[in-house]
Amino acid sequence: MPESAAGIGVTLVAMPPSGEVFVARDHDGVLWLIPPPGAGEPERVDEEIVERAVVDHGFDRVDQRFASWALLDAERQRLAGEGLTAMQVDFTRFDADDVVRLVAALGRARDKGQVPRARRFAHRLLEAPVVRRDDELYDRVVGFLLELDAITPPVPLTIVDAAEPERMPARARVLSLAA
Amino acid sequence: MFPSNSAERYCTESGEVDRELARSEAVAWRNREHLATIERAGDVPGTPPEAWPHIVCSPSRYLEAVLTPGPPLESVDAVRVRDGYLARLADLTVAGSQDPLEAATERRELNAIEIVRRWRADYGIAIEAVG
Repeated sequence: MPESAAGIGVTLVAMPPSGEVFVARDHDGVLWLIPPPGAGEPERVDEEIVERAVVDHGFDRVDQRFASWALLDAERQRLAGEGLTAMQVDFTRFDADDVVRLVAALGRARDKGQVPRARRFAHRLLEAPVVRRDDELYDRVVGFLLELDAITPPVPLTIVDAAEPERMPARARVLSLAA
Repeated sequence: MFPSNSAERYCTESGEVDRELARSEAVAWRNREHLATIERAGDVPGTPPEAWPHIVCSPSRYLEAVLTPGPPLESVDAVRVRDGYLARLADLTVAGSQDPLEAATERRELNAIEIVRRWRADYGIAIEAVG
């Protein structure tokens, strides 16, 4: 979808109260049905589809115009937040497939640098009933934690920083404390 | 919601139903005030306010509401979700388990998968990955 040209605008046409999927009109007047990430690609639709979305699928007409996609999205988030009560994640309801996907998600979190978050979640996941009763799942989560907590090999004392030879005694003291 | 008695408006005496007309005139419950305005606005001028409820609903003239609850969860076998979207929901589960998600739409998505997991636990409804 092309970015909005200045002063022409994009329109939030319709969305359900949850807002994760919505219909928008771009600055060329093209209607798009935009799903959340992972649920497919944006697709062009027509007014009849919009009408069906409103009548049959719980979409509300919004028909608000914005100067940019960012402003449109801010309003979408504001509307989606109305009357919203966040639920707690219930670890007792995970099944084996969930655990496999969650470990993959932990890997993605780790790759984004969210290591403390990934570690805390993995520790909680070890207490999930489905993990406690399945050795394979337990090993999978433990394996992730071990990868996360991989300890770097100690530097041998004989390796001296050629640029700072005077620091060798200090390094030896630190390594002896860590041993 | 329908503008009037649906049996009289869309059905013949022989039992034929004008589905196309019914479909085109059906209005969601949350838009009932718009339907009332469209259908009854012409009656308002000259009618005292205390008689306005009678304009909306009287024994011979009314807006018809049809209540159709969704299928009972006991009769649902599975919820099918794109595999890529289940991966996203797993990301949101990790992110949202500790701190509130910043985007309201993401909090809604997390709520939805939590509800579906509850359905699985309480009603045996499978979560099937597709695509």
